[in-house]
Amino acid sequence: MTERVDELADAFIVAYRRGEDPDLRTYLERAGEQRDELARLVEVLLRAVPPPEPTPEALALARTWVAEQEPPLVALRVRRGLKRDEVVDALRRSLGLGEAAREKLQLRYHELETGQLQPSRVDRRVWQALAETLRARAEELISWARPLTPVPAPVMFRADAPGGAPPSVLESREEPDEVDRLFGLS
Amino acid sequence: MATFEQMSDEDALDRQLYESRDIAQLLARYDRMIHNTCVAKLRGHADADDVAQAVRMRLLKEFERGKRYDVPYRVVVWKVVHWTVGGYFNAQRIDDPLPDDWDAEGGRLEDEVVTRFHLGGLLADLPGREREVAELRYVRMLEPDQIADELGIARNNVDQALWRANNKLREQWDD
Repeated sequence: MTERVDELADAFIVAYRRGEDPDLRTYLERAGEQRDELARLVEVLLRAVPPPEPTPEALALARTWVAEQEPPLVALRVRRGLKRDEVVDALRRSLGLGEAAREKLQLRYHELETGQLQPSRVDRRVWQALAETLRARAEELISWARPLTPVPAPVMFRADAPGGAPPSVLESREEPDEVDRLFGLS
Repeated sequence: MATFEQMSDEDALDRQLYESRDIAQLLARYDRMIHNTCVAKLRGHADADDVAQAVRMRLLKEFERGKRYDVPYRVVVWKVVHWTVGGYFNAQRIDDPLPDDWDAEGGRLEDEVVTRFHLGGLLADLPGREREVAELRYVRMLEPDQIADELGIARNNVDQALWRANNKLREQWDD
C-alpha cells in the first residue's frame, strides 16, 4: 500500500520538477483511500525540492498579473463575498444546465474568471447570468474580463506540457459540448 | 552537482530578484509550488485555487509594503502558504493583508530555515545513500536506472533507498 503512494509521489514530483505541470488532483484521486498520505508526502517534497523554472509565457502572464493586481472578475467576486462554487451553481441554474454539466461549467468559469478566454466570444446569456449573480452590468463585466497576455495554450502560470496543453481536472472531450459553446470554445 | 550548492544558487537568485524588485519573476517561479501545496493541504478541494490566489496576493502586498527578510524567499513563501491555509481552515478572511507581525508568529523565520527548510535539514539524518539517491531523483531528475548507473548499484537498491528516504520525509510533515 505504502509503495503505491511512493510511486505516485515520485511520478508527480519528477513531472513537477520537469515543468510538466502535473495535476495533483488526479494523483490524489488515483491514491484513493491513501490520498491523505499522498498529500502529506507531496507537501514535504514540494518543500524539499527547487521549483520548476517558469516558461516565458508564464513569466509574461505573471508580469501582467502583477501590473493588474489580480483578475478583475476574481476581485469583484471576492468583494461580493462569493465563492467560486456559489457563482458556478448560480450560473448553472440561470443557464438551465443539468448537474452533469457542473464540472465543465466550473472549469470554464475558472478560465473566464482568470482571463484565459476571449470575452467577446462568450455567449451573451453567460454574461447576463453572471451580471445578475455579481450584481454588475453585463457590459462592465465584458470589459473587466479582458484576457491577459495571449498565450498559445489556455493556461495561466503553468508550463506548457510537452506535446500539448496540460491536463485538466476534467476529462477532455474531442467535441465541444453545450458548456464549451456557451463560453465561446466551439 | 550537489543538492545543497544548487539550493544555495536558487536562494541567491531569489534574493537577486527580490532586491532588483522583480516580484513578477519571483511569483512566477513559485507559482506551481504555491498552487500544488494548497491543493495538497486542502486535499484537492476546489477552494485550493482561491487559497493559492490569496497567497499570491499576500506575497505581492508584502513586497509592496517593502518587507525585507533575512531568510531564503522560499521560506517566506511557505510561511505565507501555511498562514493562509490556516486562516482558511479557521474560517478567517484570507483576502486581507497579513498582519504586520505575521512572520514572528510561532517563532522566527530563521528558525524555519534551520529546522525545516534547508534540504540538509530534511535529509541530514539519512545515511548517505538515501540522501544521494533522493538528490539524484528529485533534484537532478534522473531516472532510477540512470541513478543505478551513476552510483554503480543495482536498480533494486535505488528503489529501496528512495523508499527509505520518503519514509524519512514523511516524518518531516507538519500540519
